[in-house]
Amino acid sequence: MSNQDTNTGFSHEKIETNNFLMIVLILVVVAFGGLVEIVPLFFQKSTTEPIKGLEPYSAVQLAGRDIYIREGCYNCHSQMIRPFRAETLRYGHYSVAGEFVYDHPFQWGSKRTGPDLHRVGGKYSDEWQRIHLINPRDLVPESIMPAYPWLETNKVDASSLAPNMRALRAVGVPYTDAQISSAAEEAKGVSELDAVIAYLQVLGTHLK
Amino acid sequence: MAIKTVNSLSHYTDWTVGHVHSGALGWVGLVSMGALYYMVPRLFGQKQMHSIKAIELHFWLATVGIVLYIAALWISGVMEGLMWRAINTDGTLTYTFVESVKAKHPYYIIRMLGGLLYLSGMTIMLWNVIKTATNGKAATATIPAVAAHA
Repeated sequence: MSNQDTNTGFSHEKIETNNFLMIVLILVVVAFGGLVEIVPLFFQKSTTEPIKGLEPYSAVQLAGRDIYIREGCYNCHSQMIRPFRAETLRYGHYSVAGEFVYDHPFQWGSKRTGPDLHRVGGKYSDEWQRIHLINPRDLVPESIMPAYPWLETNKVDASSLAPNMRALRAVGVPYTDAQISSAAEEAKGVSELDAVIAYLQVLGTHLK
Repeated sequence: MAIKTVNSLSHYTDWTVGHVHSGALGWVGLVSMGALYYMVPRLFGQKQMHSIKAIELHFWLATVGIVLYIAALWISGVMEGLMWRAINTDGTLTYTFVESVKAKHPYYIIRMLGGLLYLSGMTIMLWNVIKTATNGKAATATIPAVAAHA
Protein backbone atom coordinates (compact mmCIF):
# COMPACT_ATOMS: atom_id res chain seq x y z
CA MET A 1 0.00 0.00 0.00
CA SER A 2 1.05 3.58 -0.46
CA ASN A 3 1.35 4.06 3.29
CA GLN A 4 5.03 3.34 2.95
CA ASP A 5 5.39 6.37 0.73
CA THR A 6 7.08 8.87 3.02
CA ASN A 7 8.09 11.32 0.31
CA THR A 8 5.25 13.72 1.06
CA GLY A 9 5.90 13.64 4.77
CA PHE A 10 2.20 13.03 5.43
CA SER A 11 0.43 9.80 6.14
CA HIS A 12 -3.20 9.34 7.10
CA GLU A 13 -1.90 6.91 9.68
CA LYS A 14 -0.83 9.88 11.80
CA ILE A 15 -4.46 10.88 12.23
CA GLU A 16 -5.83 7.40 12.56
CA THR A 17 -3.42 6.41 15.29
CA ASN A 18 -3.66 9.62 17.28
CA ASN A 19 -6.93 9.78 19.24
CA PHE A 20 -6.60 13.39 20.31
CA LEU A 21 -5.71 14.69 16.86
CA MET A 22 -8.60 12.72 15.36
CA ILE A 23 -11.07 14.15 17.91
CA VAL A 24 -9.89 17.71 17.21
CA LEU A 25 -10.11 17.28 13.44
CA ILE A 26 -13.58 15.69 13.65
CA LEU A 27 -14.76 18.61 15.80
CA VAL A 28 -13.39 21.04 13.21
CA VAL A 29 -15.24 19.27 10.39
CA VAL A 30 -18.52 19.03 12.34
CA ALA A 31 -18.28 22.64 13.55
CA PHE A 32 -17.69 23.84 10.00
CA GLY A 33 -20.72 21.96 8.72
CA GLY A 34 -22.84 23.29 11.58
CA LEU A 35 -21.73 26.87 11.03
CA VAL A 36 -22.49 26.78 7.33
CA GLU A 37 -25.92 25.18 7.83
CA ILE A 38 -27.18 26.93 10.95
CA VAL A 39 -25.57 30.33 11.42
CA PRO A 40 -27.04 32.00 8.31
CA LEU A 41 -30.55 31.28 9.70
CA PHE A 42 -29.86 33.65 12.61
CA PHE A 43 -29.52 36.53 10.17
CA GLN A 44 -32.17 35.82 7.53
CA LYS A 45 -35.21 38.06 7.69
CA SER A 46 -37.51 35.19 6.71
CA THR A 47 -36.59 33.31 9.89
CA THR A 48 -36.11 36.12 12.40
CA GLU A 49 -38.85 38.65 11.62
CA PRO A 50 -42.46 38.10 12.67
CA ILE A 51 -45.00 38.02 9.86
CA LYS A 52 -47.19 41.10 9.44
CA GLY A 53 -49.92 41.23 12.06
CA LEU A 54 -48.38 38.66 14.43
CA GLU A 55 -49.35 39.45 18.03
CA PRO A 56 -47.73 38.01 21.16
CA TYR A 57 -50.04 35.67 23.08
CA SER A 58 -52.42 37.40 25.47
CA ALA A 59 -52.17 36.54 29.17
CA VAL A 60 -54.96 33.94 28.94
CA GLN A 61 -53.63 32.46 25.68
CA LEU A 62 -50.18 32.23 27.23
CA ALA A 63 -51.61 30.43 30.26
CA GLY A 64 -53.31 28.03 27.85
CA ARG A 65 -50.07 27.48 26.03
CA ASP A 66 -48.34 26.57 29.30
CA ILE A 67 -51.09 24.01 29.96
CA TYR A 68 -50.70 22.68 26.40
CA ILE A 69 -47.03 22.08 27.21
CA ARG A 70 -47.74 20.71 30.71
CA GLU A 71 -50.21 18.14 29.39
CA GLY A 72 -47.75 17.05 26.70
CA CYS A 73 -50.04 17.86 23.76
CA TYR A 74 -46.96 18.26 21.57
CA ASN A 75 -46.25 14.53 21.93
CA CYS A 76 -49.14 13.70 19.63
CA HIS A 77 -49.88 16.97 17.82
CA SER A 78 -47.54 18.82 15.49
CA GLN A 79 -47.78 22.52 14.73
CA MET A 80 -45.99 22.53 11.41
CA ILE A 81 -47.81 22.25 8.11
CA ARG A 82 -45.48 21.21 5.34
CA PRO A 83 -45.75 22.74 1.86
CA PHE A 84 -47.39 19.70 0.26
CA ARG A 85 -50.71 19.66 -1.50
CA ALA A 86 -52.20 16.97 0.75
CA GLU A 87 -51.16 18.92 3.86
CA THR A 88 -52.39 22.33 2.75
CA LEU A 89 -55.68 20.74 1.68
CA ARG A 90 -56.12 19.16 5.10
CA TYR A 91 -54.74 21.84 7.40
CA GLY A 92 -54.55 25.12 5.49
CA HIS A 93 -51.69 27.37 4.38
CA TYR A 94 -48.27 25.86 5.03
CA SER A 95 -46.43 27.17 8.10
CA VAL A 96 -43.86 29.93 7.70
CA ALA A 97 -40.97 30.65 10.08
CA GLY A 98 -42.16 34.19 10.83
CA GLU A 99 -45.25 32.81 12.58
CA PHE A 100 -43.16 31.20 15.32
CA VAL A 101 -40.82 34.03 16.37
CA TYR A 102 -42.79 34.63 19.61
CA ASP A 103 -42.94 30.90 20.43
CA HIS A 104 -40.46 30.02 23.17
CA PRO A 105 -40.17 27.10 22.89
CA PHE A 106 -41.91 26.37 19.60
CA GLN A 107 -44.38 23.49 19.51
CA TRP A 108 -43.59 22.06 16.07
CA GLY A 109 -43.63 18.49 17.40
CA SER A 110 -42.43 15.45 15.51
CA LYS A 111 -45.31 12.98 15.59
CA ARG A 112 -48.93 13.08 14.46
CA THR A 113 -50.79 10.57 16.53
CA GLY A 114 -53.44 13.27 16.28
CA PRO A 115 -53.79 15.85 13.51
CA ASP A 116 -51.64 18.95 13.09
CA LEU A 117 -52.90 21.89 15.16
CA HIS A 118 -51.04 24.81 13.64
CA ARG A 119 -54.17 26.23 11.99
CA VAL A 120 -56.78 24.77 14.30
CA GLY A 121 -57.66 28.33 15.41
CA GLY A 122 -61.22 29.11 14.33
CA LYS A 123 -61.70 25.68 12.79
CA TYR A 124 -64.11 24.54 15.50
CA SER A 125 -66.32 26.48 17.91
CA ASP A 126 -65.31 27.09 21.52
CA GLU A 127 -68.12 24.77 22.57
CA TRP A 128 -66.83 21.99 20.29
CA GLN A 129 -63.35 22.35 21.84
CA ARG A 130 -64.86 22.33 25.34
CA ILE A 131 -66.75 19.06 24.82
CA HIS A 132 -63.83 17.53 22.92
CA LEU A 133 -61.24 18.28 25.61
CA ILE A 134 -63.47 16.94 28.39
CA ASN A 135 -64.08 13.73 26.46
CA PRO A 136 -62.96 13.48 22.81
CA ARG A 137 -65.14 10.41 22.18
CA ASP A 138 -68.31 12.39 22.73
CA LEU A 139 -67.61 14.06 19.38
CA VAL A 140 -65.23 11.69 17.57
CA PRO A 141 -66.13 8.10 18.52
CA GLU A 142 -62.94 6.60 16.99
CA SER A 143 -60.64 9.07 18.76
CA ILE A 144 -57.82 7.68 20.90
CA MET A 145 -57.00 11.04 22.49
CA PRO A 146 -57.03 11.05 26.30
CA ALA A 147 -59.76 12.99 28.11
CA TYR A 148 -58.75 16.06 30.11
CA PRO A 149 -61.72 16.58 32.45
CA TRP A 150 -59.68 18.28 35.18
CA LEU A 151 -59.05 21.30 32.95
CA GLU A 152 -62.65 22.34 33.55
CA THR A 153 -62.31 22.56 37.33
CA ASN A 154 -58.69 23.77 37.65
CA LYS A 155 -58.07 27.49 37.67
CA VAL A 156 -55.18 29.13 35.83
CA ASP A 157 -52.18 30.11 37.96
CA ALA A 158 -52.57 33.83 37.25
CA SER A 159 -49.65 34.93 39.44
CA SER A 160 -47.17 33.02 37.26
CA LEU A 161 -48.01 34.97 34.13
CA ALA A 162 -46.22 38.28 34.79
CA PRO A 163 -42.83 36.64 35.49
CA ASN A 164 -43.43 34.39 32.49
CA MET A 165 -44.09 37.38 30.23
CA ARG A 166 -41.04 39.24 31.57
CA ALA A 167 -38.91 36.19 30.75
CA LEU A 168 -40.39 36.08 27.25
CA ARG A 169 -39.70 39.79 26.83
CA ALA A 170 -36.07 39.13 27.73
CA VAL A 171 -35.82 36.79 24.71
CA GLY A 172 -37.48 39.20 22.31
CA VAL A 173 -41.28 39.02 22.65
CA PRO A 174 -42.53 42.64 22.63
CA TYR A 175 -44.77 42.65 25.71
CA THR A 176 -45.54 46.12 27.06
CA ASP A 177 -45.37 47.01 30.77
CA ALA A 178 -49.14 47.50 30.71
CA GLN A 179 -49.72 44.00 29.33
CA ILE A 180 -47.47 42.49 31.99
CA SER A 181 -49.02 44.40 34.90
CA SER A 182 -52.59 43.52 33.84
CA ALA A 183 -51.82 39.83 33.13
CA ALA A 184 -52.75 38.52 36.57
CA GLU A 185 -56.03 40.47 36.52
CA GLU A 186 -56.96 39.18 33.02
CA ALA A 187 -56.34 35.54 33.86
CA LYS A 188 -57.81 35.63 37.35
CA GLY A 189 -60.44 32.93 37.86
CA VAL A 190 -60.18 31.64 34.28
CA SER A 191 -60.46 27.85 34.08
CA GLU A 192 -57.61 25.91 32.49
CA LEU A 193 -60.10 24.66 29.92
CA ASP A 194 -60.95 28.19 28.79
CA ALA A 195 -57.26 29.11 28.68
CA VAL A 196 -56.38 26.14 26.47
CA ILE A 197 -59.29 26.95 24.17
CA ALA A 198 -58.18 30.60 23.98
CA TYR A 199 -54.75 29.35 22.96
CA LEU A 200 -56.07 26.84 20.41
CA GLN A 201 -58.39 29.41 18.86
CA VAL A 202 -55.56 31.84 18.08
CA LEU A 203 -53.24 29.23 16.61
CA GLY A 204 -52.23 29.97 13.04
CA THR A 205 -54.75 32.76 12.59
CA HIS A 206 -52.26 35.57 11.97
CA LEU A 207 -51.27 34.51 8.47
CA LYS A 208 -53.77 36.02 6.09
CA MET B 1 -35.15 9.54 5.97
CA ALA B 2 -32.70 12.33 5.20
CA ILE B 3 -33.98 12.21 1.63
CA LYS B 4 -36.84 14.64 1.01
CA THR B 5 -38.94 12.16 -0.94
CA VAL B 6 -38.74 9.55 1.82
CA ASN B 7 -39.16 12.08 4.60
CA SER B 8 -42.29 13.57 3.03
CA LEU B 9 -43.94 10.18 3.51
CA SER B 10 -42.32 8.96 6.74
CA HIS B 11 -42.24 12.15 8.83
CA TYR B 12 -44.85 12.51 11.60
CA THR B 13 -45.82 8.83 11.19
CA ASP B 14 -45.29 5.63 13.19
CA TRP B 15 -42.49 4.80 10.77
CA THR B 16 -40.13 7.04 12.77
CA VAL B 17 -41.16 5.44 16.05
CA GLY B 18 -40.68 1.93 14.63
CA HIS B 19 -37.31 2.87 13.18
CA VAL B 20 -36.06 4.24 16.49
CA HIS B 21 -37.28 1.19 18.39
CA SER B 22 -35.51 -1.19 16.03
CA GLY B 23 -32.33 0.52 17.25
CA ALA B 24 -33.35 1.01 20.87
CA LEU B 25 -34.70 -2.50 21.44
CA GLY B 26 -32.68 -4.45 18.88
CA TRP B 27 -29.30 -2.79 19.09
CA VAL B 28 -28.88 -0.97 22.40
CA GLY B 29 -31.15 -3.39 24.25
CA LEU B 30 -29.68 -6.66 23.00
CA VAL B 31 -26.07 -5.45 23.26
CA SER B 32 -26.68 -4.32 26.86
CA MET B 33 -28.31 -7.60 27.81
CA GLY B 34 -25.52 -9.60 26.19
CA ALA B 35 -22.93 -7.59 28.09
CA LEU B 36 -24.83 -8.09 31.36
CA TYR B 37 -25.12 -11.84 30.79
CA TYR B 38 -21.33 -11.87 30.42
CA MET B 39 -20.58 -9.67 33.40
CA VAL B 40 -23.16 -10.69 36.00
CA PRO B 41 -21.74 -14.19 36.68
CA ARG B 42 -18.25 -12.75 37.02
CA LEU B 43 -19.56 -10.12 39.42
CA PHE B 44 -20.85 -12.85 41.73
CA GLY B 45 -17.95 -15.25 41.39
CA GLN B 46 -19.81 -17.69 39.11
CA LYS B 47 -18.69 -19.49 35.97
CA GLN B 48 -21.91 -18.73 34.11
CA MET B 49 -25.49 -17.53 34.52
CA HIS B 50 -27.84 -19.69 36.59
CA SER B 51 -29.71 -20.86 33.49
CA ILE B 52 -28.36 -20.80 29.92
CA LYS B 53 -31.71 -22.09 28.64
CA ALA B 54 -33.38 -19.02 30.12
CA ILE B 55 -30.94 -16.79 28.24
CA GLU B 56 -31.84 -18.53 25.00
CA LEU B 57 -35.53 -18.14 25.77
CA HIS B 58 -34.94 -14.46 26.52
CA PHE B 59 -33.14 -14.02 23.21
CA TRP B 60 -36.01 -15.48 21.22
CA LEU B 61 -38.70 -13.63 23.17
CA ALA B 62 -36.84 -10.36 22.59
CA THR B 63 -36.20 -11.10 18.91
CA VAL B 64 -39.80 -12.03 18.15
CA GLY B 65 -40.98 -9.09 20.25
CA ILE B 66 -38.83 -6.64 18.30
CA VAL B 67 -39.94 -8.03 14.94
CA LEU B 68 -43.61 -7.72 15.88
CA TYR B 69 -43.12 -4.26 17.37
CA ILE B 70 -41.23 -2.65 14.54
CA ALA B 71 -42.94 -4.46 11.66
CA ALA B 72 -46.30 -3.28 13.04
CA LEU B 73 -45.07 0.31 13.23
CA TRP B 74 -43.39 0.20 9.83
CA ILE B 75 -46.60 -0.96 8.23
CA SER B 76 -48.87 1.42 10.11
CA GLY B 77 -46.43 4.27 9.45
CA VAL B 78 -46.33 3.78 5.70
CA MET B 79 -50.06 3.16 5.67
CA GLU B 80 -50.96 6.38 7.49
CA GLY B 81 -48.42 8.33 5.43
CA LEU B 82 -50.12 7.09 2.25
CA MET B 83 -53.60 7.69 3.68
CA TRP B 84 -52.78 11.30 4.60
CA ARG B 85 -51.63 12.07 1.07
CA ALA B 86 -54.25 10.07 -0.83
CA ILE B 87 -56.26 12.32 -3.13
CA ASN B 88 -59.40 11.51 -5.11
CA THR B 89 -59.62 12.15 -8.84
CA ASP B 90 -61.72 15.25 -8.13
CA GLY B 91 -58.84 16.70 -6.09
CA THR B 92 -60.26 16.17 -2.61
CA LEU B 93 -58.65 14.22 0.23
CA THR B 94 -59.62 10.54 0.31
CA TYR B 95 -59.42 10.02 4.06
CA THR B 96 -60.21 12.06 7.16
CA PHE B 97 -57.52 12.05 9.82
CA VAL B 98 -59.52 9.89 12.18
CA GLU B 99 -59.89 7.20 9.49
CA SER B 100 -56.11 6.80 9.59
CA VAL B 101 -56.27 6.55 13.40
CA LYS B 102 -58.90 3.82 13.09
CA ALA B 103 -56.91 1.92 10.45
CA LYS B 104 -53.87 1.78 12.74
CA HIS B 105 -55.75 0.06 15.56
CA PRO B 106 -54.79 -3.59 14.74
CA TYR B 107 -51.15 -2.59 14.37
CA TYR B 108 -51.18 -0.99 17.81
CA ILE B 109 -52.45 -4.30 19.22
CA ILE B 110 -49.56 -6.13 17.50
CA ARG B 111 -47.19 -3.47 18.79
CA MET B 112 -48.45 -4.05 22.33
CA LEU B 113 -47.98 -7.83 21.97
CA GLY B 114 -44.43 -7.28 20.73
CA GLY B 115 -43.70 -4.96 23.63
CA LEU B 116 -45.12 -7.45 26.13
CA LEU B 117 -42.94 -10.24 24.70
CA TYR B 118 -39.90 -8.02 25.03
CA LEU B 119 -40.85 -7.11 28.60
CA SER B 120 -41.45 -10.75 29.54
CA GLY B 121 -37.92 -11.51 28.30
CA MET B 122 -36.62 -8.86 30.68
CA THR B 123 -38.46 -10.39 33.63
CA ILE B 124 -36.88 -13.77 32.83
CA MET B 125 -33.53 -12.00 32.84
CA LEU B 126 -34.33 -10.46 36.23
CA TRP B 127 -35.15 -13.90 37.65
CA ASN B 128 -31.95 -15.30 36.13
CA VAL B 129 -29.81 -12.51 37.59
CA ILE B 130 -31.34 -12.89 41.06
CA LYS B 131 -30.78 -16.66 40.89
CA THR B 132 -27.18 -16.16 39.80
CA ALA B 133 -26.53 -13.58 42.49
CA THR B 134 -27.98 -15.68 45.30
CA ASN B 135 -26.05 -18.75 44.10
CA GLY B 136 -22.85 -16.94 45.01
CA LYS B 137 -20.84 -18.28 47.88
CA ALA B 138 -20.79 -16.04 50.90
CA ALA B 139 -17.26 -15.00 51.72
CA THR B 140 -16.11 -15.83 55.20
CA ALA B 141 -15.08 -12.64 56.85
CA THR B 142 -13.55 -12.87 60.28
CA ILE B 143 -15.58 -11.13 62.90
CA PRO B 144 -13.39 -9.23 65.33
CA ALA B 145 -13.76 -10.58 68.83
CA VAL B 146 -15.43 -8.41 71.35
CA ALA B 147 -12.75 -7.15 73.66
CA ALA B 148 -14.47 -7.40 76.96
CA HIS B 149 -17.84 -7.98 78.48
CA ALA B 150 -19.09 -5.46 80.87
